[in-house]
Amino acid sequence: MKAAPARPSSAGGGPFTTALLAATLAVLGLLTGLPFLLGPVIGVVAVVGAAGWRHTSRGRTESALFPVLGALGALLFAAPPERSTELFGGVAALAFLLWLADDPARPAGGGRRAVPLLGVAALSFGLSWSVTLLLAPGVPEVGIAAGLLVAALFLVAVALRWSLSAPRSEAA
Amino acid sequence: MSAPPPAAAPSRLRPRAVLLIGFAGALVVGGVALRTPVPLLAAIPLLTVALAATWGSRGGTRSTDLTWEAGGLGPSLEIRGRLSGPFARGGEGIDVVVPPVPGATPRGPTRVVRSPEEILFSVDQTLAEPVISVLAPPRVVRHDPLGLAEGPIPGARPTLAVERYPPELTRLGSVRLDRTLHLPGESRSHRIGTSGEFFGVRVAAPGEPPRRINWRASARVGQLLANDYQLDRTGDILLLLDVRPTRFGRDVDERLLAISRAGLYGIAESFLRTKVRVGYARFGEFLEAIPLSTGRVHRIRVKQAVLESRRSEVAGPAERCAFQLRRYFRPGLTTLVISQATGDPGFDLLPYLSRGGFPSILVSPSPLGLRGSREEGSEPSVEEALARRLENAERRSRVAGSWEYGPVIDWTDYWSLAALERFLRQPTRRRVS
Repeated sequence: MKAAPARPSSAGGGPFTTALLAATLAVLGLLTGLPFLLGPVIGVVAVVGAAGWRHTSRGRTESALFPVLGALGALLFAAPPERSTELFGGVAALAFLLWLADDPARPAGGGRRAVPLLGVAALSFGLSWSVTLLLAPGVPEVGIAAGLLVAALFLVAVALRWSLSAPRSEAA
Repeated sequence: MSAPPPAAAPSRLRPRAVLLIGFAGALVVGGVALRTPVPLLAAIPLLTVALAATWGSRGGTRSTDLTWEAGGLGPSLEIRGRLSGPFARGGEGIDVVVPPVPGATPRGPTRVVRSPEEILFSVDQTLAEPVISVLAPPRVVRHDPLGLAEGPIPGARPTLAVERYPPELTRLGSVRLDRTLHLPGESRSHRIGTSGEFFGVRVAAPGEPPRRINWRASARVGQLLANDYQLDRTGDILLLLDVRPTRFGRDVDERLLAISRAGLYGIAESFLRTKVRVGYARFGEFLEAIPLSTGRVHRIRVKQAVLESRRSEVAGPAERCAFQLRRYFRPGLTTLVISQATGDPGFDLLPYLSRGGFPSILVSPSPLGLRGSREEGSEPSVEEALARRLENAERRSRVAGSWEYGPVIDWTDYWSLAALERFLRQPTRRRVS
């Protein structure tokens, strides 16, 4: 039996997903309005540092998530409540998930395989944001409620699937 | 009619998912507290994807069976396995987690080759010392592309026996031990061969040597007949494993005991293969014994007993071992003891076994061998080199003291027991190393 080594993912995650995450965080940082371009600097430095960390950590890539999560959290809380910041906040979260799927410690092609999962996440976010956008006075709570509704629907679907696939006792 | 596929086991969230959900929860709490919708909207895809991942890790292949084997020579251990398909999406997202062999160092990550029909995996490890162990089946899990959740895939999974002992032991069975039975003929051999007691005649095979042809019987019957003989039993052997705690401490004791178990099983298997009757006993606080026997069932019984041998918490007096041994075995039986030569008259088994009438050979695994394997590659300082020389001298002195009661094999190189094989072939009353 001959087993060839599994093809690893590209170093530090795919360059495309890393660049995409850095770009979305940079835009989000710009929209925060922090002085001296502090927002984009935080975002880009965190992403570059995390990508380097993932590249050098040889399989233990969980700790590399912390800089990106820290930067993302800081920029989200620093962003003013506007349509553009709400949009780029969600896009940044989706870009982060895509970067997460392109983990170098996992088999290559994670980003491609994650498209259905990310599609569901993008759908829930898109629904929430579009409802917020389309409402004339702009009531963000409605969008959030829509998002939570999507999450609740998912919960119901998961619970339903579990109950259907659970082992049943023999009929008497 | 095939059995229905087993129900899928529940999925489990991995630490990464917990981190992601925790972060999303912090965004929700912070967003509500600061009354800002930006983090709230960003939390929605993070929470949704965690739920979707739990769902996604449950579909696809419901069951897969495993075949695996251990290969390689000496310290090199190669574990290879195959999971039978079919696998949805070419087996993407299915991982195999091979449990580690005790005392082994992996030479790289587990290699996995996926295809729709089968998944092949292999992992190479280096063993520090001889080992006998039964590996639990590997976990086969399905995970989502983001690594957030995983669900086990059931199926038939056999355990894997890993048996590595010094290679010389495979030849040990050919050693003719001295007859140790009191009454010759008391227990007859089942082996048929070309010498020994006459057993019967049979039709001669083509190319049968003339000396084996029974010419008178052939003349009577009209076709060539050959004689069969019942081989002599070469002697019985008792293998005694000392599992008492020593002054070296738990860590060293456990490692030496693992090495002793591997060596002892190698010796037992080699002798049992040649139909020699083998007895097994282990002495901790008290003696536990398996009487002399041979055959496949006895080999399994001995293997189980060897695998179950653990370091005892209390050390029984050596005198008790010799006393209790007489309940199970007759004096005069050749006894191979695997124990430490400590020089302590209350601890060493050899003097008491010798007085009890058991001609004994002591195989003493040296703790100095562990020191060498741990610090391999680093150059010792002058003080360390001096300390090692003193330790070696002290060890030699203790081993030499034990020769008063019987032969002692100083087992320093754990991957070789050539000294034992040499001694059994040509017994001598001088130091063997």
